[in-house]
Amino acid sequence: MERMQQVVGRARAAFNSGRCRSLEFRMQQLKALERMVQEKEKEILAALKADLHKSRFKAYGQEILIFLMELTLAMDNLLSWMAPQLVQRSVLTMRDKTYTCPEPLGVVLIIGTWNYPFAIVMQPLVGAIAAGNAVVVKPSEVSENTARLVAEILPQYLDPELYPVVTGGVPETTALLAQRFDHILYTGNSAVGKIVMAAAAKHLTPVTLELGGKSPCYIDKDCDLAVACRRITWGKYMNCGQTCIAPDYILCDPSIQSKVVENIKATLQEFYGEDVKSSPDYERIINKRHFKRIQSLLEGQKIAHGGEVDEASCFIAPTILTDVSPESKVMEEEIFGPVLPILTMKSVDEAIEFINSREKPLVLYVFSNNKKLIRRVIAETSSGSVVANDTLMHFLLLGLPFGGVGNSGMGAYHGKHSFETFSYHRAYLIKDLKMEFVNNFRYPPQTQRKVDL
Amino acid sequence: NPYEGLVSHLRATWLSGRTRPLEYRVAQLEALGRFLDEKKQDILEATALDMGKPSFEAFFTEILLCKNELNNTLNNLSHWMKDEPVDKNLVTKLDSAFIRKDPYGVVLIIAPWNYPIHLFLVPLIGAIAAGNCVVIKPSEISKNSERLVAEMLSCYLDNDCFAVVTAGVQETTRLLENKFDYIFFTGVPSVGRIIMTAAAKHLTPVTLELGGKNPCYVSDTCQVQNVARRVAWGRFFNAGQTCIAPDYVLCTLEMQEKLLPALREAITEFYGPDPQKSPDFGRIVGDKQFQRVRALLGSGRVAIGGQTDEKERYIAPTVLADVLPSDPAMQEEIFGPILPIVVVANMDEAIDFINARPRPLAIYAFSCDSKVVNQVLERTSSGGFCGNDTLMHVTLTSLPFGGIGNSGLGRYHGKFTFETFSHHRGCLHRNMGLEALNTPRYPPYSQQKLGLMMATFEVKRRGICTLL
Repeated sequence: MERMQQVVGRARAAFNSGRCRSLEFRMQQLKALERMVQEKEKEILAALKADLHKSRFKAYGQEILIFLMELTLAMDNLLSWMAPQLVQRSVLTMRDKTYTCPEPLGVVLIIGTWNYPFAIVMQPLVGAIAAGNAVVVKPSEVSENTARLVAEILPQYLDPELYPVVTGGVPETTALLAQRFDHILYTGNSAVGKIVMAAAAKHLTPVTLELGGKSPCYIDKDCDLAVACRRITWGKYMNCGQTCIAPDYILCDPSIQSKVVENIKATLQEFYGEDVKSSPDYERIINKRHFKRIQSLLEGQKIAHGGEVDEASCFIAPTILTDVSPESKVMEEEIFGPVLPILTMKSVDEAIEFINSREKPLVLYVFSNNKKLIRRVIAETSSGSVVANDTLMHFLLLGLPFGGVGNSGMGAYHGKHSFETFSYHRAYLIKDLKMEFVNNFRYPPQTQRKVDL
Repeated sequence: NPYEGLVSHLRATWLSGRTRPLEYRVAQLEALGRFLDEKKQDILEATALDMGKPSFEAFFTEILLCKNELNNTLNNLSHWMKDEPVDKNLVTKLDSAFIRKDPYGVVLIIAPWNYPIHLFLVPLIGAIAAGNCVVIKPSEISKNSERLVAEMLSCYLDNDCFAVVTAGVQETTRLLENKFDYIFFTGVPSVGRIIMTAAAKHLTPVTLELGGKNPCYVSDTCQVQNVARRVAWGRFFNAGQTCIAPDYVLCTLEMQEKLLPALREAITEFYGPDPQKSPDFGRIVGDKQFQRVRALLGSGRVAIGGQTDEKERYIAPTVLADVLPSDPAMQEEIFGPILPIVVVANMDEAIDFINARPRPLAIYAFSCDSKVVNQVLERTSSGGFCGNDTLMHVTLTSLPFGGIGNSGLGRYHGKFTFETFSHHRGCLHRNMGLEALNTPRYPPYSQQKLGLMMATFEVKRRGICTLL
């Protein structure tokens, strides 16, 4: 507890000194982060391999590329993001200066998670630094190699007082959450999200919660099944299903269920070959606890494909379940694994009703050639984001706000949205002391004539 | 759970999609406009009974400013509701990428007593404009206004979508057990914490409009009479019961001596020699609040005013001089017609004083020298800042209104209210064709594929091409 107080206290003193506010300083830190990724690329990829069995290409594509995209966007636009914005004046303020200006919040906290352990702390860090804050970074202890690496290399490139890294598990995070921050960005599950928000409430700290849930994927009868299933396979089995925006389950008409299974099977063969276990591009489950959790979801289910497991290496084969019942265990919680249940729905009405009867998801997927149907599904449901005819791709468009709604979270980040999340827009009205007669109408005593004016 | 039926009824209506079309929202907003027009007299009477609100003040804050917000929203709503397109990268060039403004669902607005109509109505305008169903909980302390809203609002709005709940502390706690999709609260920081803690149980996002002590720095170079009038107006409006009122003055001893006669003159000009008889000066809302504010008079020395009348809940427009940071008036938000003056040596000391305290809703600085105003502005932090006047920044629908740190989280007014009550949903509508373009992203992976992927996704730094 004392250690946390010291770390946060030092960050606050460093913020109060004002040195992280200038454009030059922020650019300097962002450029340093760019250098860090270039110089430490090997070490980062090795840590990701050790934690999640990610191949070089996967790790670079999933975690480093997006980080570089964020850095470039921020450095190119920071000057304009930081600029004051004039606002429309009223008759009474015609001669005055009225504007808003983005200001840093102060000391912010970023709590990461283990599935994309590098990107999930680094991506928001870009926005937090760009907005002029001091940042305490807390990577997930579950992905311990990446956590250790981040704690080691970040202080080598960034100002260590302003951007400290705190490692540890639940006790350390709890001690950290007892401190006062000016914003907390947490990525993880809803249960812990509630704990984070309750802790933040004690200090009236605003929060951004990137949570999860079961992201539905509706496949319409009218669509190119081969293409749809390839895109779904890619999104579902990437990182062994351990992706918050993976399509969690499929909803489709019973008449196309077997075709969907066939197409996914064919795509899996194309991606990972005959023997998935020996493909260098197929990852593993993060640890035994999650392995056992996902394995138990297969009990009593109709396995149309896959189902092979190997506890020693935390391997679960890409698996498809058919004719799944909405009441089964696999439909209760976010799967976060390479198991894809298919539920049959007789119509899009039934599918919409099903989606709306459950918690609002992080992302909703819909596949159809029918634009009207897509528009209808979007209009009649609620979700963090929605993607038609693909999976995951919204993550790469930094202009789209990335976040949940309801149980899947609150607030958003990516690109300029990160900058906005970690800033507040102070409102300014600057008048001069002359022209006092203009104010006379508002002063007492109030006669009827004044009221009419 | 006494409110479960009400909340599920509203949620069922929301799920039916009734509040989504623009026409529906416009119709409800126009009905709110009729409420303000037809019930104007009732509103003036209710607020006069609640806290002796002068009719000019009531008209200005409870009717005029609300009508401004309403008209601004009606003029712009169809534009605000439009999907916002976003920049696309090379791979998504032929796709449709935009941000949709979705309503949250069933939202809760909890309003305070000091501007009892304005502080529920302006958030309500944004909540309706954004397509939500709304539960409104007016303050039980401003009893007459509460009764007016509870009895009359239902005659204007669709009762399947908008409900008024009258509740004290106990019932409000029960109300908060229900799941809402957004909670908008205006009140004190201590209750703000309770609201946010309750919201955390359901992962409900919140906007908290809280308060604090708004400092008012008066530099040595200024036209004292103009300063005195603007500060007195801001302080004594609604008998000081305004979240953005200048709470205390910081100035040099020299300026204090100049300000006191100027303030005395301004107060006399506004309220006459006996403010208790003026129809333009309000009263404290309740006995509890009256006792609390009266106790703050034992701070510094009473330079102007200081008279009280418990029967009327009247406290005279009062200025306290030579107030110390340890005095009672400097320990809490005053929320009454008392203006303490704390003497500082210079501007730097004033800025340090402000920065040593929780960040306020507003900071005021008065000076003829724009450099001085800029210094205070640059070296402090607050929700809003007004140079050379008080209160006026919140009358602009184009400026966001909200606090920071202890003074609140979130903001509203104008378009910001609509944005507050909307979920910004990222949408990507891709083409089913052109599947060949996606090949670099699929396994099995190779160095070549990685190179291709980097080429299509990478954002190049600007300025490189101009060099070449």
